[in-house]
Amino acid sequence: MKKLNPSGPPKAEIAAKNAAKAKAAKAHKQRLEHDRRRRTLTRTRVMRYGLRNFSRNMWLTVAATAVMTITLLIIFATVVASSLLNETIKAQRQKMDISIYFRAETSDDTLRNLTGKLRVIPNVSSVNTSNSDDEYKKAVDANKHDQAYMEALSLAASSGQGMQLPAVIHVKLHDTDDRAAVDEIITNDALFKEWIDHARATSDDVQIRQNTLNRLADIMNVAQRVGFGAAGLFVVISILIIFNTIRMAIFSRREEIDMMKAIGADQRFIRGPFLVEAELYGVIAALVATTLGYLALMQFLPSLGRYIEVGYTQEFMIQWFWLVALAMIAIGLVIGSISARLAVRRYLKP
Amino acid sequence: MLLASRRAEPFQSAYFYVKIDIVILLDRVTKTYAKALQPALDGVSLHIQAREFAIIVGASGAGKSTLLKMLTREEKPHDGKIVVGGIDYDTLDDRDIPLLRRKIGVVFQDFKLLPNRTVYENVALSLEISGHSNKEIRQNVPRILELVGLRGKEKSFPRQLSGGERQRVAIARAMVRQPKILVADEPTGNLDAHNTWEIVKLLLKINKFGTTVVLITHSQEIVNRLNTRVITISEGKVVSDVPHGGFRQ
Ligand SMILES: Nc1ncnc2c1ncn2[C@@H]1O[C@H](COP(=O)(O)OP(=O)(O)OP(=O)(O)O)[C@@H](O)[C@H]1O
Ligand SMILES: [Mg+2]
Repeated sequence: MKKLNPSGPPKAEIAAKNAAKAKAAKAHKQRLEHDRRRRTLTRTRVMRYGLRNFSRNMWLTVAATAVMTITLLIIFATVVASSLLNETIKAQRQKMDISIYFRAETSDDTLRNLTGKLRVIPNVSSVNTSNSDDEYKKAVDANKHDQAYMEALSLAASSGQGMQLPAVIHVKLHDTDDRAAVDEIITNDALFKEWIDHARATSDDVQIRQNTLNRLADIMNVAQRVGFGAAGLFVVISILIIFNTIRMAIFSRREEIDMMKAIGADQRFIRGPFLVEAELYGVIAALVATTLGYLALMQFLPSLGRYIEVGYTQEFMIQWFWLVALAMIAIGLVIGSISARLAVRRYLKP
Repeated sequence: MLLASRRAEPFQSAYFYVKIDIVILLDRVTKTYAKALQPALDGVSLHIQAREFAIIVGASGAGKSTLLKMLTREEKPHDGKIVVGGIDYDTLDDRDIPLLRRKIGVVFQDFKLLPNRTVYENVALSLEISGHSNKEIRQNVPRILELVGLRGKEKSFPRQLSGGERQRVAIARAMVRQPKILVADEPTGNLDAHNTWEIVKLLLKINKFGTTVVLITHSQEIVNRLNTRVITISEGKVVSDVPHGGFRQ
């Protein structure tokens, strides 16, 4: 408590003023709070009307949701397929290396020298050397169940010549398209010229595989474009169909809308339920499409895995399941919302 | 009787100072529909005071419903001034029309009820639209249904009701927001004599509670028995306006 000093009246005045100010601020706050509550109330009511309308015209609802589901499935399939193809091509490119063959009698020292020369090339990511004996062991190991091969081998051994396999250096590149430096060293370096096994072409098979991979990549690009084109087309189709569904819903509820307007419903109440309805198509379609999509993945990925690389895609789809589901819902919501907004703007003029 | 409006300035109209009790004011209002040869309203001037019970009569096509549409801003006049409950329509933003309509109760000949909603829901809708809380809805809807004599019918759908009962629902829906003004456009047009009279009695009761009632009607009997103000419209003009009118056409 403070004592009243002689200049009391002004102080009391200030206090009164402050009290009035505080009161006004409180009233303002209450008003804001009231407005906020009212907005939330309206939002939940509009949602409820939308839900109600959704279940009112079952056939239109089912048709609109089905089209949206197909659209979302196409998007899903396109994304998954392009991820799978991408992964496969990437894996193949990584596997692809250049094999350089040297005469069987090349010594380990020489091989080390040759390896060293390759290592210093910037585009070379790794070099793997194996001499004639190693190659022989590998060949025996790889073919021990092949009776004919083993017989031929022992025949060669008994003839006294032994089996002479060339030594090999495997070179992996960072950029598989840029072979210039390696080619240059193979054709021009003296040591390489001396020891290289001219009976075995160095680069042909690589080139062929390279070409195949490039062709695959081209096909993939086309496939991707076709996929995304189809997805785009279906997005447009579903927008049109949902647009039409909402348009019909608007026409069939014309009287009701006029009546709502007559008793003072504003735009949120008039348009809101239609937007909610269309967004609901999107959400339900997303849930159905995600379920179907994942079921299909579970069904087909394992057997696909025998032919192409699926590991990365599979892991991603499992790890990010909720993200994928959310993305599908978001796409569905956006498609539904866009179509409904177009329809409402066109047919529900204020 | 001031209407809350975000943009409209309630005291802007000069008329407002003339007589503070005037809730409906039309000054030389003219309306011609597109492609119409003659105006539907031709220089109509009217004052209706607070708590008044006014009957508007006139032949079919005279312009009575057009007059109602002027009040609810369903149509806009080409000329003239309209001030309702202190709101000058010249300063009324289109976005505020819903707010205006929540302040005026309107009842139609064809009821305009939502067929797939119960009596209770039809009345509650009115409060939902104007943003009343669920608690207010729970309190006010049963009360107003009681007032119009529809207790026990809450769960019925409009198709399960008689014409008179349907019109009571419509009146309940209009009145549940406690508007200062109630306009009824031929509310008894589809009803038999008994129900007509029940509805008129209900309107009188509402008027007694303090609401200004404007009743548009064709019925000679109502006019003659009510002995209240009668405004006669003919070919878009007010041809007579008498405090205790008999029917004449
Ligand atoms: N939307 C409209 N477009 C064009 N003309 C209209 C429209 N509404 C009404 N009219 C015309 O305006 C005139 C007045 O119509 P209004 O509906 O106001 O008459 P009313 O007095 O209510 O008649 P009733 O007693 O039959 O209901 C009539 O000639 C009618 O044809
Ligand atoms: Mg009429």
